[in-house]
Amino acid sequence: MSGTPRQDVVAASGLSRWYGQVIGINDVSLAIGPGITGLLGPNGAGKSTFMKLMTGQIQPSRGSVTVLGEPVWNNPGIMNRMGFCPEQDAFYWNMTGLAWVEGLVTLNGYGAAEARTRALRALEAVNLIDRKDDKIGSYSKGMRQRVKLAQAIAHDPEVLILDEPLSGMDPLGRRQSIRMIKDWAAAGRHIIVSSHILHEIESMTSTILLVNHGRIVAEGNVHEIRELIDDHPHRIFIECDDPRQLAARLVGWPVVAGMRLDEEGVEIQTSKPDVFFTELPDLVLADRVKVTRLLSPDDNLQAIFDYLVK
Amino acid sequence: MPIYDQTYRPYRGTFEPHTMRWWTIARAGLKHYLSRKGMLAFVFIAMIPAIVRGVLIWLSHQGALTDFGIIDANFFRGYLAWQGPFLLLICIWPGAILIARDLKTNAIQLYLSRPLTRRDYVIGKFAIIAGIGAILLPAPGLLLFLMQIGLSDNTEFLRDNYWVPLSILGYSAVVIAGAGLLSLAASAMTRSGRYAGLLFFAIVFVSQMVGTVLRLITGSPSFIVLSLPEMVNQVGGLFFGGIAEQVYVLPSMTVYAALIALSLWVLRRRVKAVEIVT
Repeated sequence: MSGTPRQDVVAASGLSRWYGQVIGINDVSLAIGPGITGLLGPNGAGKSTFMKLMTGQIQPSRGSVTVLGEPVWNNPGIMNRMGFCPEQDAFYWNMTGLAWVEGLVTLNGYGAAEARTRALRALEAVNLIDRKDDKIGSYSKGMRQRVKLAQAIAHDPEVLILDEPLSGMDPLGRRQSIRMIKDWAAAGRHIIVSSHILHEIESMTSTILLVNHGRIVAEGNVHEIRELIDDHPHRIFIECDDPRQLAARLVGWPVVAGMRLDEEGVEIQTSKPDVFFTELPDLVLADRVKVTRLLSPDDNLQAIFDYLVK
Repeated sequence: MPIYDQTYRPYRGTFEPHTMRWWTIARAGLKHYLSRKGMLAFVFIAMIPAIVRGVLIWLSHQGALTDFGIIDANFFRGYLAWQGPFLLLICIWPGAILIARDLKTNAIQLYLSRPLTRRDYVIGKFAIIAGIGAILLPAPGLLLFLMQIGLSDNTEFLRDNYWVPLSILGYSAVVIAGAGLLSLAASAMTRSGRYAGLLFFAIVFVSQMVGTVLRLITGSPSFIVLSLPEMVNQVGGLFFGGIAEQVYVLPSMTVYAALIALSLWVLRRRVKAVEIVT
């Protein structure tokens, strides 16, 4: 382990953005660390506004945001270190994929030869090299998403900001893109990816930022966030050979707040899962109950999202 | 056997200086439009007045056109005024579509996610109009001037008209700046290049109609300042001088400057990344 302090990839302080009377993002202060961070929230939560603030495309109404320690508003130099894949299509439809990516990379200041090399490499990375000379207008929705990803990575940025990058892709395309995003992160890039489809985020990272009504509702590791939600006791399902016997013993446990019995096992509710899991083995051994599976049905992103947002 | 570092390694090469990033947009735009057959045909047609004047200069030096009159500053001013409608057409196409198309396709947000400011973007787009405008106005004008010098037997013409190249450049710059920025402002007002073109057309020709009608009704020449083409004519007087009817140069310049300022204000307000609350 090196002693170098962690540099925040993105840091916001009192960040707010209004559109007239409408709040986009309201008084957000946070620090996003390295690796992949999932930005989650229902439609209208403020995800895209936050992304536009992070990419310096709109000015904060109040507060500030920095990326890699540098302010982003009115600081075009930082854009060489960032790549942005917007949610909406943003194409010149009669251009070829190669010409489009190449043209955008040229704006980063590369010479013509270098820009072409980078555009080709990026199209290769997103599996579009075979269609590079086709007009974007002939691309499917999934291919358009991939060519947007290509322009975001073509200048080899340190930070990638991807707004709903998997939207419109077929299952195979999604799987390939998720793999690609994870590979980029493994290569040392930092990625902030938004989606309102939870399992997509869950398959990429367990570090999330949950946004709702323009505010950050929760940030950090999914499981750690779940630990902090006291209003909703943890549900634990114990699949076993004799659910009735197990239920009879569990009824008297002070850490068990509720219980549901079915033919396959017992689902309990507890606000102290650590204590429960510590004591469970002794009980199981004492009663010789054969436990075949332990599940935490609400220790996942969907449950957290439901508890905090809905 | 070495084990290579597979982690992220940023680009260590050199970039074009940031001050020239607008040129990337301008270069791509000029390359795109000047490679289109329609544009090349248009440029060729717009060169015909210059070719005709070149022939006239040559004939006058051959003594074949005694009734043609002298070649002086007014000859070049006349040429530039003649080219005005061609510039207006350039402002309609491609001028009026340059920003409207980016608004329609959401492309501005991608431009601005690169190391590019909104100012760079507008300068780059303006430089496309200015580049084509330069081919139509000052470049042939200066060539005609050089031709006249080259064919002259003595230095009398140069001695009397040494200031004309600067006037050609100054007049062209002012006219291209006004028309080009107005065209971009119209383009930034709508997502449709067609409507932007119509808007620009309406501003130019409706202003001329209104100015002319009011001048005829009231008999007051002060309504010149309502007509964009008349204003440009007045500005021409500032650079080339010597014409009796140029009596509203200062008011025309003021209104013209206000029009440029208004265009810049519109561009500042309208050129930004798409703002959507999602």
